[in-house]
Amino acid sequence: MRSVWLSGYAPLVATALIISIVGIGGLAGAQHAQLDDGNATVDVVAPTGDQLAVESGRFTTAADYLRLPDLVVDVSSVSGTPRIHYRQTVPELGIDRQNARLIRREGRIRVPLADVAYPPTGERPEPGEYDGRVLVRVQSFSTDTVVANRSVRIGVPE
Amino acid sequence: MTPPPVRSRFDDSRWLAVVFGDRIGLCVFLVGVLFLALTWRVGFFIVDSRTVANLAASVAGGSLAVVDMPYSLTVGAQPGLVEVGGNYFGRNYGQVYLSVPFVWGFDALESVVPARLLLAGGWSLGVVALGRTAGRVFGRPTLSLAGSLAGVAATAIAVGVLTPVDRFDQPAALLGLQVTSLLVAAAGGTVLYRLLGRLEGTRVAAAGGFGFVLATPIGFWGTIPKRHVFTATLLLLVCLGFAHSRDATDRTRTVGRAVAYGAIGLLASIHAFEAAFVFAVLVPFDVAVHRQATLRSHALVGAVFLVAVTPLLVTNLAIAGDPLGVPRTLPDATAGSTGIPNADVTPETVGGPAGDSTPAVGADGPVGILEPLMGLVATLLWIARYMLDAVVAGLATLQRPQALFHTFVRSGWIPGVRYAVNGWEAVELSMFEAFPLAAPVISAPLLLGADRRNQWREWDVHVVDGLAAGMAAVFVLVYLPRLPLHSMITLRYVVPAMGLVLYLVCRLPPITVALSSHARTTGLAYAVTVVAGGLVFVVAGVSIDPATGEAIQLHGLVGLSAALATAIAVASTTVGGTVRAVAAVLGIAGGATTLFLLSASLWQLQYAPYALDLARLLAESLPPIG
Repeated sequence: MRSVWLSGYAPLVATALIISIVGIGGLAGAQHAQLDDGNATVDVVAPTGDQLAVESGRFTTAADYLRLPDLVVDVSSVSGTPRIHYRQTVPELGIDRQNARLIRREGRIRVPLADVAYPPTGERPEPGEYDGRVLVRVQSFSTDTVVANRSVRIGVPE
Repeated sequence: MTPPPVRSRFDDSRWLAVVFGDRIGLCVFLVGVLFLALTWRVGFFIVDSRTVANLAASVAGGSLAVVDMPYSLTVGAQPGLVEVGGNYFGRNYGQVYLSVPFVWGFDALESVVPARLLLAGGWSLGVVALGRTAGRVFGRPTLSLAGSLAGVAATAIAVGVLTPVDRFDQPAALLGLQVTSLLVAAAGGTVLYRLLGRLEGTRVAAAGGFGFVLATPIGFWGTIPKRHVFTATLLLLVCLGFAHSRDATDRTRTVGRAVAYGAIGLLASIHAFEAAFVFAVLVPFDVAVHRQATLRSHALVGAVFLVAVTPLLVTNLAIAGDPLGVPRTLPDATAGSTGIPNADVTPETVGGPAGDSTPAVGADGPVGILEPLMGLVATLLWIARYMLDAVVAGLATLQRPQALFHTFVRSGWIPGVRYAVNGWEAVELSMFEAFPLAAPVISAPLLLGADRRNQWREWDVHVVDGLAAGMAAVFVLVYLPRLPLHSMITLRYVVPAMGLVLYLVCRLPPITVALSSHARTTGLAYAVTVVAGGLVFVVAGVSIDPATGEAIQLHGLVGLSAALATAIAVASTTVGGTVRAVAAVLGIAGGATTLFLLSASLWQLQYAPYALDLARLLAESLPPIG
């Protein structure tokens, strides 16, 4: 009988109690996972270059990709819950990709951006060089600090 | 005196046997639920799910018409919406009806307990139940205790990481749809387990049951509110009922037939045309096998079928004024809009008989019994002719080798597919890439002709095999003219047939011998593939940093390799190859699919918040890839 209680009823009771206390009591939420007031010191580790390239897709996708590098930053002096916002734009190609990550602790944070795919034929950019911009910001309800704002060149091969 | 063994009141309850067959069937169900819950994202993967979700919100509020549109404000962004008399109606009403109780439940409980917490608690209880059940199956109380501790720990962790945003920003209708789909998908595993259990040993049955969710694309679509997992489970239920109808007693034969036809009736309320095809396949088998059935048996089966199709008939009557006027044949409300094109093409839009038209809905004419009767006959003739044309068109597709190659063997970049819909990402996998365990079916002709002195038993082909093969073949044929197509991902139009294919694979003699004699080898190979393969994928992903299409194609290449290895291993048993090798590659092939399911849901396709915060933690622990 004791094994039935240990392996059956007790966990049921325990789980129901936890859910009831936490849920009804409104005690849920040990971590803040929403943007709030705050600030942080951010040093951009990558990307460092000012050239982006369109490359052939791998694993027989046949698509070509404008590879957008991940943002890598070292974060220190964190207060509150700000976020790091990463944006890459290439107006002539109609590209505007952005992503953000909440800053919850000091250390290294990586913010990826999805690569831009192009078909092997048809709707592709004309070969040549294009101007783009990389923008990195630390944002919160009380802050909007530009950490990096620089131009990049995108090369589209023949 | 030795005390009697401790017994729970459930030991003596018939509910276990009726619903799950036995405790292993319950384990299959629970594993399916727990796995799918980890991959569950509360959001929309395909745009026409918004139509079904809006419909669910409206039906839960008491209206067959789409009057609430919490998920999409514009008509053009809801593919599949039809318009009748100024009102909008949706599709898949049967799926919606099944979901409504859960929608009400989430609505009612949301004000008391946040849905996120509810789901976390439910998952934890599932872990407890699995541990307890597995402990009884294997006779190890420590398993029960471990499951209990794991379940409570999971609750504590979930509560600890629960965010202050503890309510999903999606109303209850989507949650209800998704949880219904999840439960139906998991139930499909149990149905397959019970079906195989009637013909094979426990190990084969269990492998098939677990494999239904873990090793087929069912695991991908299990929580995405499309009709495909419903159809997959119902097709297996048809087979189970038919298998049951082969029993000795009159009563069980009738019950089995009733289950089979009842499943088709339920399917009809989800997709009437798919149900019509399944009906057309079942009837010849039923007639051939049950020639001696009594009139009473036929009447009972007919009554069950009528009850099962009643939701369809009532819905059609309420919407179109015609019990046979299914919503899918009604005017498309999005036609001419600048909204998103309907990517979820269904058979009826391929085109019925040229020059003919569906008997007019609500047509005027002389009042009398002859007019409706003639209308009914005309409708049935139209349906029959449409079905014949669809099968003929499917057979004609067999003369398109390039399309067949891309559909079944290798995807890559497929000419003619509208990749623009998915941002030019090559995310469409072939059958063997997404479902490598299907590969042994191509060895079946070789096995049929093989010397029976080989190391497997004589192949006892059962009539249920014929039914399963027939349904699978018709399903594939009907959709073949449309394939390959965009937004299929894992050939989703054919996903319903994949449960049947897995059943047929598990019936092949080398497979049954391998699973019966070398189950540990299969299990070990599966575990190593998932764990070690997962680590390799993570390392490779970080170093390669693939785009979405590249990652999916990499999975495809791995799946295709596993499929090839499986087919070769099975075929080689005709010339002295070992069944232990078959057991190993089965585990690898299954593991490859599980890896794809986990990778796609936790890593590559993060399109919405996770239902479980545990899953979110897992996903956030993986290195980001672009």
